[in-house]
Amino acid sequence: MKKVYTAAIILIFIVTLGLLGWHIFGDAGTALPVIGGKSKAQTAGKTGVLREVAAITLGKVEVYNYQRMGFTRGFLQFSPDGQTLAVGTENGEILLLDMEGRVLWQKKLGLGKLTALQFTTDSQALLIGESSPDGFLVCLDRKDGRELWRQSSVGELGVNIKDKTFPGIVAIRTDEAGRIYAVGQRYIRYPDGRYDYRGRIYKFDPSGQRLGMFPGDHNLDAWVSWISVDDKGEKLTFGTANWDMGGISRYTDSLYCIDGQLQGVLWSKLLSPVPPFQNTTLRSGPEISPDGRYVTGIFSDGRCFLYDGQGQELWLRALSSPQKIANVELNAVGTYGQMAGEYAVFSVSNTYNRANWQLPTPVEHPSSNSIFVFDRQGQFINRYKLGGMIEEMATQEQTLVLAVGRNVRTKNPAVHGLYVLSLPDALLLDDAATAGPCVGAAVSRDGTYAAGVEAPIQLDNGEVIGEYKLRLYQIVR
Amino acid sequence: MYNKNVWEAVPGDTWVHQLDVRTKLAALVCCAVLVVLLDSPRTLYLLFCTTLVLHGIARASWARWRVLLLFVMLGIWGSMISQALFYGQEPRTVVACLLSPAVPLIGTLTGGVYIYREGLEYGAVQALRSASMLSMGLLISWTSDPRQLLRSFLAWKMPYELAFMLITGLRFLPVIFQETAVVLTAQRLRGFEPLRSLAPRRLIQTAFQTLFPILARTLRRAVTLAFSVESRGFGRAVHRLGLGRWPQGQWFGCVLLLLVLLSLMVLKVIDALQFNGIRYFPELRRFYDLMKVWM
Repeated sequence: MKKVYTAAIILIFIVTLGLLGWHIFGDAGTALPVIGGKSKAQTAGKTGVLREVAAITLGKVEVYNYQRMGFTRGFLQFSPDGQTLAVGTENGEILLLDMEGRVLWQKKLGLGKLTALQFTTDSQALLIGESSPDGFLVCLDRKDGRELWRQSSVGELGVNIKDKTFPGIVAIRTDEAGRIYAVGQRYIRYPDGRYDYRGRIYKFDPSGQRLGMFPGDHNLDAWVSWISVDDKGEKLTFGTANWDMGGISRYTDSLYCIDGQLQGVLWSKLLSPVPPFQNTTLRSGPEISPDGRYVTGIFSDGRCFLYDGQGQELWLRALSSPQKIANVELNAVGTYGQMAGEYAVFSVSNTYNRANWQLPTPVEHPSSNSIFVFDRQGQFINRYKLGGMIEEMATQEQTLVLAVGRNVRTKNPAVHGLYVLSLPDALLLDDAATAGPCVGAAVSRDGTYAAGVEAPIQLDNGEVIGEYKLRLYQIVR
Repeated sequence: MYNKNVWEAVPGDTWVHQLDVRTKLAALVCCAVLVVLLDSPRTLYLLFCTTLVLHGIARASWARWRVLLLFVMLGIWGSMISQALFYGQEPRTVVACLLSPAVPLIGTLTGGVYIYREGLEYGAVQALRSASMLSMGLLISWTSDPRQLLRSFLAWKMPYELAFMLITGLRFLPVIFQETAVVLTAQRLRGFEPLRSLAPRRLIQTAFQTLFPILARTLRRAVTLAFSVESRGFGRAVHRLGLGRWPQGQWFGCVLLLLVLLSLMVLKVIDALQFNGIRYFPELRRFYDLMKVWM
């Protein structure tokens, strides 16, 4: 009897220790890929276009609910050569996977918070942007994750460790020659409600040598969190998204195009705000076409546009004008605008109450949670309405991959998932439902693979659904 | 558990048994500081596993493993359950609802009873601290001669009275368990079944009925011991047998261990300065990154 008792204790202890170890060490990359990509292939997407290759856990994250404005993030990018997928997590882990979902290496960022992720043009290195007291841009070798170089942005943007207002590299792009462009950003919110924005655009060569900065001798006094560069590296575009215009005196325009040498502004545009908004903001844009001939984007107020490379307006469309219904001012926020070959694709997200985004609205905005496709002449091609917020949009010439997350109005979790649409007709090819909101999306350059990041969410009844997970799919058309 | 041999140190020929008692005490001190210093669950887990490995090297008997694991599990599960129920920090995620706030009276009064995921995690990590110390303490107790322990305390200038009490307490631990066994056996012979019912009132009654005889016997034994040591001149300054020479390799090992510990303490202070926004040293960024993951 004593032996049985001892064996039982040892068994329970081993299970306890094992569970504890699994919980503690079970961070990103611990799940196995789907065997042969076959077992779940039929169940991944409804029409069979999306076949699940791997589902990999990305560790534990704080679970948010519908009442929170920001949400869990996931950074995804396929290498330009289509051989690997890089994943950055909310916990500052970076994973490199092959196309079968095997984790080639993983690395922890440490003190910094991951804010940007981008492959170099030759696919041989991975660029990481982080927010920390140093605000580093870090270059990692794709082979083994070894650090090749790092550059700090604290010298220009400053830091206040007491208030924890850290600089960070928030966007990274590369041109055909392998030169790297990065946006450094820091913002300070004062107790009286004022904001102070600081931004810089950096240019580096592939070895990490700094080639230039914009502006050369001062910081951008505007919220800049996006950059786009043409293939030749001759033109860069960025937009401003200022919550508070009080402290802004120099960079008051909505949209800027600067030369590739970062010497000066080629052109800029100031769009007057659409009532009831006080400012015109462009958060995830503008995007310049690879040949540098077109610039597109969508303002938060729902106006999308196409300019030519010289700053001439080709067309401007209002996709989601603010509305006043039952004495409530509501709007659907314009988020992404991207070029996909000959076409421009725009996304509009959730409906918000202008007075306070958490307050209810009598109806959903008719244009909310939708994708709009236009050709270069401004001809409307099609629109596809999704049930939830388009958290991220990844385009390829013929394929559009969308991460669909929360709908803060209907709170319907059935809409969560990774959606694949054909271009230019914007027709749904397939969707892979996820329990939690899908918060990140990527598509390989040849359009054969798609990836999404699912995040957990707490419903209003307290139930937690979904996991923080990477899902890799093969697109079979 | 009630077997005296389970608690008393027995001679052995393993590497752990052969270590100088001062080396073991130095390791115990390092472990004590580390469990306070470390916040990283993975490092605490590894530390705890290391102490288990040492028990394995010391070839602990099955009876000892049983005692060790039972105590460790009580600590881990107890801490996890209590923290899961009473975790008060934010953010916290409800894993299960034990009592809905909608339940009349008790639900309204308590505001609902929930199990919080973060509480479970926090409880487990806290339990690893106490489990590491328990495991390390038992290792030293099971593999070291109490007389050697007493001599090493005295060699390190610990007051004689304090060292004597410490060792006496250690030596009396098995006796207390033995006393418990005797009391329980005596009660069973009189038809008493301590665990017949798990009702709280019954359990409290059982505890009183068991603890009072043990306490009485322990006090009686303490009085006898006190008379005995007083009659032999307790506390009188007399020449006592010293310890042998501390093996040089072990001595260097301990110095190294203490230096590492000191460095970790300095790093922890530097990290705390950074975390609290007092001072950040950019040149130590690599250490900050490592500390974030491992400390």
